[in-house]
Amino acid sequence: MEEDTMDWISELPEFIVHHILSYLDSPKDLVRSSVLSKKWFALTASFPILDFNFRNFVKSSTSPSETDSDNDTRSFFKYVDYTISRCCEQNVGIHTFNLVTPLQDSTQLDVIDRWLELILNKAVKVLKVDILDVPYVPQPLPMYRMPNKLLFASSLTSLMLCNCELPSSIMVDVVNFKSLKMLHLDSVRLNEDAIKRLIIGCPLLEELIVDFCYGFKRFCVYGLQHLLLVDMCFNGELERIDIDAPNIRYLILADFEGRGAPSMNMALCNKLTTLSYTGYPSPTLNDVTDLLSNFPYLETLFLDLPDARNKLKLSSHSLRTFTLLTACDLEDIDISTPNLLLFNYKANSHNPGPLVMNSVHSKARMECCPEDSIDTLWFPKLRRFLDKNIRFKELKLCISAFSGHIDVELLKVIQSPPYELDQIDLEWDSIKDLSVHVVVVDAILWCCRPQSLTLGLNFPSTDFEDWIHIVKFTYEKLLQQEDQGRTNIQIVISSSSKSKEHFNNLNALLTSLPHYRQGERVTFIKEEGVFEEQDN
Amino acid sequence: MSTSSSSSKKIVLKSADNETFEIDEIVALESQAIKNMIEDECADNVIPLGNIDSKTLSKIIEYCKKHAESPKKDDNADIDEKAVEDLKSFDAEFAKVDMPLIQDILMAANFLNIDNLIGLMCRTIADRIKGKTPEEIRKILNINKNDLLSPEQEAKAREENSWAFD
Repeated sequence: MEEDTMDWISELPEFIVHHILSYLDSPKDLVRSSVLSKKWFALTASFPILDFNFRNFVKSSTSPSETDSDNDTRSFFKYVDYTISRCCEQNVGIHTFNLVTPLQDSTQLDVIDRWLELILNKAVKVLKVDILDVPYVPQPLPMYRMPNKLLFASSLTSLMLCNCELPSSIMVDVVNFKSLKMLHLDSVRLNEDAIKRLIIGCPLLEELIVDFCYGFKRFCVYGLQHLLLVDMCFNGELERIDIDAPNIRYLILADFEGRGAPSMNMALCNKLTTLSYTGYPSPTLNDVTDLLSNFPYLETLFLDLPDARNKLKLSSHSLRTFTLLTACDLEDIDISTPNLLLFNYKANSHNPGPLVMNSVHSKARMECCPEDSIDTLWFPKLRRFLDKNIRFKELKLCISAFSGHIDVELLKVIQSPPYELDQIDLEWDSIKDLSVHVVVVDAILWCCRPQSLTLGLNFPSTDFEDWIHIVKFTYEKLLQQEDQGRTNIQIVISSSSKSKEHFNNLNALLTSLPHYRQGERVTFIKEEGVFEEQDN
Repeated sequence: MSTSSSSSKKIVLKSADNETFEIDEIVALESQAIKNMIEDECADNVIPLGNIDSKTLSKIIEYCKKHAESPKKDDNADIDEKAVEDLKSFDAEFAKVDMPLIQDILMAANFLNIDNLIGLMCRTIADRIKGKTPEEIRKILNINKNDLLSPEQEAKAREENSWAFD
């Protein structure tokens, strides 16, 4: 019979159907798929990922009573209850249990207790409980407190608690998180003893994230052999952080009340090479150096200074990569870091960038995303900065928006020899205005004299005239910097990561144009030596 | 570099309908099952795939070629980003086929143990049933009518979660 042979889903292993279900992120789709057939009914029941997020639920259920949040919460609880009981009837473990829910009345506290009892019996690995704040509750409810049983959940590999209380037995029972690798506490009341007990109970912990937690003045982490990362968003009551973990590499700190960094001791963490710090290092800001003295092995630093009115002074011998997000003027930055290879300066802090940089540079490089309103005066500042600080060999300038005004003629009045560089990269993020390109190229070549320069150009393919104009302009400006009879400029055009075309000079490029469209990257390379004039 | 050299070792795959496909070994290694066979040295010159037809197999080879060619992680970060984008648009194009072929590819990818392709097909199926009613999904997936829940069972399941069936 043809009908019997058609049900291909039945022929697939269970894990593949679960894989399909894992892409159905809306609870509505999941519930609907449960009634498709007997097979699907069973397969949805044994799906070991229980993800209950009230926000997704509300988005997904477009009932006419959309303003009735009481009703939504009731249906949400009913849905969670139905799904959990169906799953727990199956003789399978549960991999993930995520619960993001509001609380409307105190009976719901007991319901969540009952769910967690069930789930914790099923060898759950990933657990998240996030109690949402409900803006208008007539009678404020007590905070949800996790059941004591949680502390025995030895199968857990990842635990996140947000806005709820730790089990009351934490002060008496032994915590047995012997598989736990990630612990994330957010807005949880702690105390120094509870922190200690938690830490002792997680011998395999790799990541510890503690955000907006309160109730403690000291934060101590000792003896976690596998700990790689600590991420803390702390408030003003924190006075001291002590970390002694032999393998920790990343420390991320954010000061959300703006009261300055606590005192720190992590001198024994000799693999702690990456620090990210958001906020004021100290109330007076004068001493980033003080902050850094706690990190003798630091190689990578991300510093996000929300509002810098003072000068920024920094020195470190070990530092190799430094990203600075700041409104602080280039003139007010004084860095003494003899081994620095990459200095990343962003005046617009809306794009923090990745914490770990892949690219390794062999020469000291400065990457710079100045503010939108760079003007004529910015270039002499850059010039002085290059002179004063590390001997940079490469410069990347990324112009993401431009609202300023640059008067290059005015610049040329200032007699200052250009700064010698190996390489300049100029990137334009969504700027298509040719006049901006021209004026920035002109100004940067007033400031620096590079051996080679790469333009990242992304004009629409219709603006071929603009493209060729900026290529010609840059070529001529670069040539003007040199003794013209003795320098040739080679041009390399690349349009994707693969194809590259070389041209010996501008003429060679222009004559081969008909069959060559504009590229995304144009590199100009100066070559010393005696060159015969090209015939025109 | 990502481009394969011409001197690389070749593997021949034979489909259920006896069509043969000669491919670079590096492409074949995208399949964990074939990789295991080669490592255990139990792969002859020709690997017969008795349950995969030539239409499905050529699609799968197209996929493996592209994925074998694209640069792997931990290369330069810039190139990485571009390659990821490129692969994404390839995958999106690749998945634009009808449901019977998706089923065949998924079954074959499971047999050959090609993780990324299993994931891509699962996501494609999920995307096609998102936001649909159970009736529509049954049609899309060609669900066997003999396997439906009893009317009482289905009514109960719908009643428990009436919000999902508005």
